[in-house]
Amino acid sequence: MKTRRSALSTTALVAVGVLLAVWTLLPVYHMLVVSLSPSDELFAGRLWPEDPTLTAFSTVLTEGDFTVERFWLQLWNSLFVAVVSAVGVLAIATLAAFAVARLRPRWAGLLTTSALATYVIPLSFLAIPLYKAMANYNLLGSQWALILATITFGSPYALWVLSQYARASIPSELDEAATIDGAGAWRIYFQIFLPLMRPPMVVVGIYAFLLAWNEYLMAFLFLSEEDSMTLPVTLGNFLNSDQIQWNVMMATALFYALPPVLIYYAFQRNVSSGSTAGGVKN
Amino acid sequence: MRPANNDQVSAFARREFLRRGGLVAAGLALGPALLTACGGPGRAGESLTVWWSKGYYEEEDAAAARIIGAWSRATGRAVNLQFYSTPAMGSKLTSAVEAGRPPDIAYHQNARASLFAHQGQLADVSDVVDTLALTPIARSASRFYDNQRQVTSTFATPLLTWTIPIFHWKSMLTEIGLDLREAPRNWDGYWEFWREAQRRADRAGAERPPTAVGWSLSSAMEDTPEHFQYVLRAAGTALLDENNAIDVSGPGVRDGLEYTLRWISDLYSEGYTPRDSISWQSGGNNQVFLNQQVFMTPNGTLSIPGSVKENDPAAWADIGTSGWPEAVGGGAPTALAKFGRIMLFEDAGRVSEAKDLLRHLMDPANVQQYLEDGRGRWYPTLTPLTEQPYWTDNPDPNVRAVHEIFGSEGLAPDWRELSLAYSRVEDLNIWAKSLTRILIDGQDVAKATDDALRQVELLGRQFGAQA
Repeated sequence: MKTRRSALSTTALVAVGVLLAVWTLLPVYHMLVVSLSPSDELFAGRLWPEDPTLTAFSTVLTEGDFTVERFWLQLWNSLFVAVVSAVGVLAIATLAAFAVARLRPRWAGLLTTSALATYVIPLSFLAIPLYKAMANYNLLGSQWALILATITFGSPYALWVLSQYARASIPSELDEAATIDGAGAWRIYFQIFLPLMRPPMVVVGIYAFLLAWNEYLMAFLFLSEEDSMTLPVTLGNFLNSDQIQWNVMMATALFYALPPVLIYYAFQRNVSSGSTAGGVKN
Repeated sequence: MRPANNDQVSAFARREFLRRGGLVAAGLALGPALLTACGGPGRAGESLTVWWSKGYYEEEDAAAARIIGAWSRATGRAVNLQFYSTPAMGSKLTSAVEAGRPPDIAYHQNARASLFAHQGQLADVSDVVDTLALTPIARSASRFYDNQRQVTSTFATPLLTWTIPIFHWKSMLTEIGLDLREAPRNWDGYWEFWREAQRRADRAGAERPPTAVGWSLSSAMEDTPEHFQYVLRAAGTALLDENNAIDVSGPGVRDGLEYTLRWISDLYSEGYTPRDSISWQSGGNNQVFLNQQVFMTPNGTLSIPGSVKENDPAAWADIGTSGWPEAVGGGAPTALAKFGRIMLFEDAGRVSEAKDLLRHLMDPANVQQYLEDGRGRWYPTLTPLTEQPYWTDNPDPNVRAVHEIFGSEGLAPDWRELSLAYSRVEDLNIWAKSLTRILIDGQDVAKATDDALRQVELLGRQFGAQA
């Protein structure tokens, strides 16, 4: 009886899993089908193109159309912005989390909570004030404008996750032992805190990377020259006319989706343990 | 509880950490200020900044760069030319204007001129535009109301124009024994012709019989309000008064709106436009047309035939381009004109130089060059150019068809081109939302008409007189 119930439960779970997988992968499948379709077969409503072609992928890789004429440079721009943003968010958030969770100043709770208040106002509302701020700093047109804005929006959540993890998972006795051995705060931060924070840092790093990687509005507003643009803006340019090269656009989007997927799988083990960071508080 | 001596050590460590952290934070905070002091990479110094709507063809952008480059070389004045996609450029312009950092010149194919003129952002370019041989309709689309200076004047320069013709597949009609040349020109007869085409295709038993019309009803498409306005005007609705202010009290406005909502919702509910036309995304009607899922579709510019001209000449030759049928009660067919305009921003502070570049851009030879590199998708706003053989005797029948539409009696600027209040009606998707309420929520057409009319009236009051 128990075995039968267990089998039923497993079947139900598998069914839900399959449903979720189909639901999640359907858009990606659709992107693949469109990118493999010749121009005259787009949206023909077939499950698989009758005459699949890699032309769209080759167009993107060889920068064979003016819509993707700076594909590699803009992919690099995206990578640069995302990596620097992720490093920036990690630097700020780990330092702040260390201060909040380990040095325990009186205003720690207020700091964490007020930082999260950044998310109360949607980014689209802040676009114009941020544009104005970047104009005042003469940063318009520079990728640093995008990096600084992304760090601003990525840091509060990162701080919250990291400080919760630090409070819950790293015993304060470790700091005390190190202090008795003569270690200063910076040494504790670098040699004890950071190595123990690796799992949530991977999660937060990926979060910040994706935040910058997928950012469109700020990238479009702050950047001017095509040579400094990131790839999402170029993807947006495909919609410039009502006559859209959907297959080339989807091929570009598939290439653009690869780095985050690779990063995710490279750090998969850390992600699964780190994503529960802050879930339990001692 | 921690030992006292540890507290002392920890306090020291904390002070040290916070001190050094503070130094790093101060350094980070000072960074942008230092960048500012050093000049930074942001604003392009003394060069004139030009933002230009990205073209569909690479040659269009190249032509703009060449023309502006020639002015730059002749005057020795540097120009920072940037291309942005048309749909997104509106947000960029709005942000720049709000931040007090607009470009010197912007060329945009969307009706933002009425908004920026209303806000007092645009420079008066009467002295340049008055010298241009603009067509009367283009001249009327250059004048806007400046709510700051409380004056109506010429605040934008129409570089080019386009209309929304109807495209159809000739061979699809031939297969079922029909020919558009034999279709009635009166409103009801014309649309019945396309309904009959669908019925014949159904009877022929094709695996996937095409639908009569690719009519956009989706709030995600710019085509929806355009298609809507065609019916509204064909029904004799005059939504703007002589000052381009919204006036819903005029005779027939309510009836015209109710007719339009009923006509379009019937077209959809009777299955004469694809079921998903209510949720199409950008370019939805182009896609179904090019896939031969519909016999015909109205669409702005010549982008549809242009998209197949090089790669599929047979398909290009099979596409017919024509104007709209006569109005509902008879009379000249409606033909809407839309405009791509050049705007000069006061706040950029270099209006005199910008006007010099504007004169160069509007030189007939330069305009013709730009339009030809756009492969005839656009139509000129300068009268002498409209008489050029490129438009009158172009080997491309689609270009000739558009030339004919622009010479037609019913040609009028799209209301969006004239009125800020009406452009808000379209921005808020009042038409598409009304259709959704009727077709999805089952709202009564009369009720939907009254609701829409109330919202339109409110927007009209909000913005007041436009000219």
